[in-house]
Parts: sequence; C-alpha cells; structure tokens
Amino acid sequence: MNLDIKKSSNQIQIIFTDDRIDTTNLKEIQDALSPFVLDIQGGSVKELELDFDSINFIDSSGLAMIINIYKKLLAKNQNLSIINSGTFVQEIFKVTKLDTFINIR
Amino acid sequence: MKKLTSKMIIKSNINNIKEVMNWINADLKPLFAVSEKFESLRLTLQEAITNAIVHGNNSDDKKSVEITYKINESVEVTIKDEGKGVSSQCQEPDINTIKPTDIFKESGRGIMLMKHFCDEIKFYDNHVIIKMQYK
Repeated sequence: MNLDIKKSSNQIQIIFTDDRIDTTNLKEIQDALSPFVLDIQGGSVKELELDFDSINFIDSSGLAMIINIYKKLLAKNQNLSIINSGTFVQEIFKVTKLDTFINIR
Repeated sequence: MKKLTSKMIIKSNINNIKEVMNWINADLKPLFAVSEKFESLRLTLQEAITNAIVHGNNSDDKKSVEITYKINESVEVTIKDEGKGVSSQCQEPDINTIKPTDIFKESGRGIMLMKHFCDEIKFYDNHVIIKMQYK
C-alpha cells in the first residue's frame, strides 16, 4: 500500500494510489492511514485532505473507515475533506449521505 | 462462448471475497456495454457477499456462501448463505434512508447501496437475488 503525502502548516494531504477502498484492501489502507490520523490528532494541523483521484470504487466498509476518521478529527476540531472523487464514487457518497457532513469537492 | 451459468462456493472469510470478485470480473465484465453499470453490479455483489459472510454466517468459516450467476436478457446473481437471513430487516422501507440520529453511524449503509445500485433485488430467508441489465 503506497500513499503520497503532502504536508503544509495547516493541512496534510494524502493521495491514494490504489483504485479502490473496499473489504479486499481495507486493512492495508487502514494500517497505512492510521499513523497519519494519529499524527494529525496530536498536532496543530487543522485539516486532512484525502485525494480520491485514483479511487473509482468504495464500498460500505470503506465508507465506515472514512466516517471513523471524520469522527476522530471532529473530536479535535479538525476537518476532513475529500477531493477529486469521480462521478460513481460521488453517487455513493450522496446515496449514503456522507456528502451532508464531509466536505466533498 | 461464455458459460451461461456458473457457481462458486467460498468459506465465510472476507479474505475470500477477492477471489469471487476476480471471477465475476473475468466472466461478467466483458458483457457490460457501460462500465459504470458493471461497477454498480460489483458494488451490489460485494455488499451482498459481505452481508452473507458477516451477518448470514456470523463469519463462521465452517459455513459456506454460494454464489451463482445466470446470463439471460439480464445478469442474475444469487448469493446464498447458511444463516437465517436478514430478510425482514431488509424489507423495512426506512432502510433506504438514514435517520438523522444515525447519520454518523459507521454501519448500516450496505443494504442501502445494494438497493440503490442494482436494477432489481429480492431478499429471501437465506439468499439474495440480484438482477442487472447489461446491454
């Protein structure tokens, strides 16, 4: 599991390189992401931005992971954003109402 | 000539889903004229198989999940587990929407996705039948 990371003073951006987040690769993605989430929670960065440009498929287990990260950041007054998601993934966010509380653009 | 029907039986371990999806990919993806339609089927199947393993069979790897597809005018896939099923729960009308009190819940979105993304779905006691147009 490879993730590209860009850090600035206010934001950490994580760029996925896989094409999907689902039950078949969830554990690898969680293991790769969790150190950064912990890092953000303990620091002064205000926002985590997930770049979904490469992701064309996400299932309910992937959505659960996103919600879990969102709640962890919310507890520390930090934001989660998702950028560059395609039309199919955006429809999944819309149907499951993630777009009503996570900043998706 | 692609087989018009085929079956795979897996043990109830989510690590086996990959094998099923590789089989579905190889056999059914070439049929679909529109790739997003296939991705919708894939999403629906993945949710249904996860449900069968986790909820139907309680992740008991002594129990099996049987997946059968038939190709006619549409693709019909049956996912059968050894549990009592989630039939009545799945038929509840409000499963299609999330209550405001449940908006941050991490679970409960799978059936919603299944109902939205396939053309037709029927829930029975220990199996689910999913239909999708491919032409």
